[in-house]
Amino acid sequence: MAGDHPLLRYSVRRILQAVPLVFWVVIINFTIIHLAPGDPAIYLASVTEATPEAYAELRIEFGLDKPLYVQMGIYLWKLLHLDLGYSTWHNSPVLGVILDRLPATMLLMATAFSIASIMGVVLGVIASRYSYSVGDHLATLASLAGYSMPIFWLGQLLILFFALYLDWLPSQGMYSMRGVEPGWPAVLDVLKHLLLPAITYATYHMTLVFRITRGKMQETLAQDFILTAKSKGLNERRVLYRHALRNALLPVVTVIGINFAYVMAGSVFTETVFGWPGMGRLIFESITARDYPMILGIFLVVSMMIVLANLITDILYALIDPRVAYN
Amino acid sequence: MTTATDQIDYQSPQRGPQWRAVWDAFSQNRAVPIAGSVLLVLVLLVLSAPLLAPYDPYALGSGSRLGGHSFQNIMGVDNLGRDVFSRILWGGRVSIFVGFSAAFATTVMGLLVGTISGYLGGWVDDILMRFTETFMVIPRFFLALIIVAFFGANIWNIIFAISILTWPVTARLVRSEFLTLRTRQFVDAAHVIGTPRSTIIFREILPNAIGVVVVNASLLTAQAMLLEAGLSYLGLGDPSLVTWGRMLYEAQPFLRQAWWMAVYPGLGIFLSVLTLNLLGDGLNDVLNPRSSEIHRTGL
Amino acid sequence: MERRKIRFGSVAIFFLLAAVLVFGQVPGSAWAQKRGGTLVIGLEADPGHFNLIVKPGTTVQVPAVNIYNKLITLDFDLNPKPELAKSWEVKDGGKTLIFHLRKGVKFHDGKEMTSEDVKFSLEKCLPYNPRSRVFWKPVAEKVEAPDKYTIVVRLKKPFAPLLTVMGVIFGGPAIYPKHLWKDHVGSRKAFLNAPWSKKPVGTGPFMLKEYKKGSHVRLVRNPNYWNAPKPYADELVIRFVSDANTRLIALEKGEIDYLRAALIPWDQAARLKKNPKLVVLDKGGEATGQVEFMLLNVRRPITGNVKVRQAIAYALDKNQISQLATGGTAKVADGIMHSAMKWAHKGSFAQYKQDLKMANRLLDEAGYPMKGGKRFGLTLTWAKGRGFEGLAAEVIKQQLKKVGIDIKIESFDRAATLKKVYINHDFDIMMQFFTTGPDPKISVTRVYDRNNIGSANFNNAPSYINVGVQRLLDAEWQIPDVKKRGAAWRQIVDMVAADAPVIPLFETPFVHTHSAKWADVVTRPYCAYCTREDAYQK
Repeated sequence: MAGDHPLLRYSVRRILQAVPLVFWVVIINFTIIHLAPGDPAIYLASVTEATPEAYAELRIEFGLDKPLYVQMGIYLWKLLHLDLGYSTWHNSPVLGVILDRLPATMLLMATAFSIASIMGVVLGVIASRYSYSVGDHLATLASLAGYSMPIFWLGQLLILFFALYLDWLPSQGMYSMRGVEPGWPAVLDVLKHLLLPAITYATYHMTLVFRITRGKMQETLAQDFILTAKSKGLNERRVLYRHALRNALLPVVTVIGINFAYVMAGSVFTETVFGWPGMGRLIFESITARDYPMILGIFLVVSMMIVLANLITDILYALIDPRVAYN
Repeated sequence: MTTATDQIDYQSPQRGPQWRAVWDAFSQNRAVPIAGSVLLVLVLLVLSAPLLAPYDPYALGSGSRLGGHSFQNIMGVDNLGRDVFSRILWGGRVSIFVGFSAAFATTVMGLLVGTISGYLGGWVDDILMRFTETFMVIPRFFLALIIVAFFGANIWNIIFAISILTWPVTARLVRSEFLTLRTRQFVDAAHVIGTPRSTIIFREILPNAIGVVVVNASLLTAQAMLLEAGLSYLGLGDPSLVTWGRMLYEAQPFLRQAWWMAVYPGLGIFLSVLTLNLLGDGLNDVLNPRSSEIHRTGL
Repeated sequence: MERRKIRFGSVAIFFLLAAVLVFGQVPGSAWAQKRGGTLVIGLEADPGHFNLIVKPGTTVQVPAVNIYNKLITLDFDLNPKPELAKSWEVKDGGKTLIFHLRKGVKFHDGKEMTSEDVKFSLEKCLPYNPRSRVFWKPVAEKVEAPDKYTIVVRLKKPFAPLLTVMGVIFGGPAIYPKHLWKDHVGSRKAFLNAPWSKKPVGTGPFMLKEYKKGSHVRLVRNPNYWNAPKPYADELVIRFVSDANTRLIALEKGEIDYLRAALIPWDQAARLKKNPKLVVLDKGGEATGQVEFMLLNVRRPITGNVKVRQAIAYALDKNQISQLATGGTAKVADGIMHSAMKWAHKGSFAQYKQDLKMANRLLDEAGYPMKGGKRFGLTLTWAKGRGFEGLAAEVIKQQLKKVGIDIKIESFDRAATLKKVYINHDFDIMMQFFTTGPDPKISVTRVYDRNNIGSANFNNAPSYINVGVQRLLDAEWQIPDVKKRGAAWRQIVDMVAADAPVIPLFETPFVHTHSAKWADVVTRPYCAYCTREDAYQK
């Protein structure tokens, strides 16, 4: 196990390395967004009123009348002061809106990943234990089906069946709108709303974790030290969980860490289908409304989350498997 | 930012297909021929759309609006009175085309960057990898959404957006493959006897790296088809073409009245993606027998 | 005595039952409507604020109309009715309007609403309202408050539509508390940054209780509302659901009680009507009166030819368009405004009944002979967001194919499309959904006025110029007599129809849909954005 110092130093170095990356991300996004035809002012002028006067006013309000490099300079300058700007659509500071939405996405993700990791690992271990049985084949096929299915399609099917046909669960949103008492009823209410989107979100990652776990477990189980342990008369289940599982955990961490950029993509679909008030929907709404500061802010925050996720992945890796050194 | 995970995931030494062995492996692997032939049938079906489709996929009066299955319309009729079967055939063409083109574009770009970076190393590698890393850190799916939403939802933009989304992973994959192969003895040997660089790349290394690339490409195709469907679902499909994704999007409001509008295109996507994934897995077993799991990314 | 009472009671019950049977509901006596319940309204996006003064977008209006009141309102025939003004007089041939205000009306913070607040709202706020200032600035001269409950509006010249537009929230002023806003006037920014943008205080039936960003707004009953016992609902919850299908599912599941017509996929209305748990209305859009048009770019060589435009009009089968794009819910449109505006509407476009022979002949005459089944290609543009426009575009493409016009459909997001069409005038044919109410001066003139070709959304994008039309447009709004004004508009539509710079396709169906548990959810002709003070739970 690594001591605190090298780990800390390593983390700091990695974060410092990421600063220029994030800077480039901002530049690239800024340029692409502002090169597109149309702007927030014309969008907003279409929902309020449509005079040249109104359009010009809005352009000035959003600073769009200045040359592009000046706009970028202003944006970066503000960014240095930790000011992400003012949302053109929400009429509030960007950071505030993001921080309002972030917890909902976090809750959804955390739940989904817990389901995905636990179910995926358990099923993967079981499948590897009964390798090449009928059950294993079925599970493998099911997992293939799981990630061959468009996520929004799965979500719609779940809504149709569990929310509309059986009427067991709510189809939309995060809270009941007819008022629930605070405390446990409120928690239960959120949980009820959480279930379907979390399952939808989890399915893809669960199948991924399942396959990787199964593969790694098979590989590990065939290795000498396991065979030795078995031959020494150690309890088979013990061997399975103590030795093999530890090795299989690495890929699980990878799936989530490395795929983080894609993880956010899943949130767009899940949150759109289920009306979940999180970041995924926020980005889509902001794109529709041409809310430039908002889009840039989300990109920045998510980019930082990706950097962080990669870092955490690597650290977890090092902790789980001491053979991997920090380089 | 060379991550520790790269080393684990990409380190699969002793590859390099001996074609004879590959053929043997194929004949023992059941998934590849089955998946391959299902895929082949699908591709042949959509390719022969002009011959097989009973109606113009855009013609309005091909059946009664939202009509069910009948002898005239074997997969029913959609909300504009268009024949679903004809649209499935024609739509599949575009969907599969988008899938393959995006995978092709990604592979070419990935190969280019990965090869240069992996073989030359040094400062070229540094620059290219920084560039790739920047793209790894951008929420690429959001970027793809923006490109399609702001610059117009035509099929080329969609292919471009999907390629933008996926190339960095391919590039890194190819690069790490090169890094591994470059240090191998047969390459050293070629160096020693004075073989030019380009020959080493094209004659010695690339053929050995091709297994990884092929597997990756088949998975990319599957991914690209899912992405196209996803963009279409968000209303960002090409308005002048029918695709399976667009059909799904159009079917959403009619799920309970005309399930056939959604089930068949959904099935089309599902089947193609499934077979492509099976194919990728099978190929991986055959071409990269030592690697237990391929590097997967997706939605 | 005792027996008489009982008999009287049973007779009353008998009549009541009869009334219920005949009218289908308890007649509108006050005690039939009991208080209680939470009315949940679906909205497509988070409004972000409640500032009606400078940013009165749709999503802002839906909550804000329940927080504020206007001076007057409209009935379903678009006649002005009292709201905060209990009566009014029109004098000097329409140049002076005197409003007599209700007494004892209180803002949510307990202060009384007086003529000072009205004067403040008209003088200081209205000129910053991007919708209202368009008509207000050119005609308003001054506003006087001779006493606490009287307001006098003096105009530079008579402005016939004034009362009508004052009766709708998106045209007319809401009344804001001067004591709160007076330090936040003078610029857009000042208005926007005022705390009252997000913590609105009005005289309306509901008060803001909770605003959860990205999720919902919760409004509760104003206990001191001047129009007691209204509002009947204890709470209004306005919930943001961005996806159209999920919104609909939520409505059908009873998680949402009301969706306005614009949020109902029209081709689903027939199915919804069969659902006993829902009520699909056919009223409540008369003042917005939206119509789907094709705009034909007069500046382009092909669509610049009047014969081509007429031929396109002849080639279309509007019944089929409405049938396929809206499931037959929308009525075919033949005028340049919604037929609900009866005083000015005329269906002059009915002359173009589908006639392929005629279309072909006109195209031949225009100099575009058929070659191999094709004459020429045109691009049809629509802005993403309204599904029915995309469907209509598909249908139009197929219909025009029959006369040799090869349509290429293109679609961008809203901002890009608006820029392309209205700023750059870079289009052949555009699918455009126009609000034509509450008065044509406000929302129809802009499309045909030669002075409005410039560069702003929803202008005269076709670049249509007709001297006769122009003369009438310049004069009609000063005619106080409704009949004569109506006649002028009928002349206008005759001329426009002959030139066909636009082709009306279908009219918005007013398919506002609410839960059958509620009644009187829609009681105004602009009920996308109307007050819910009348809604009560059955």
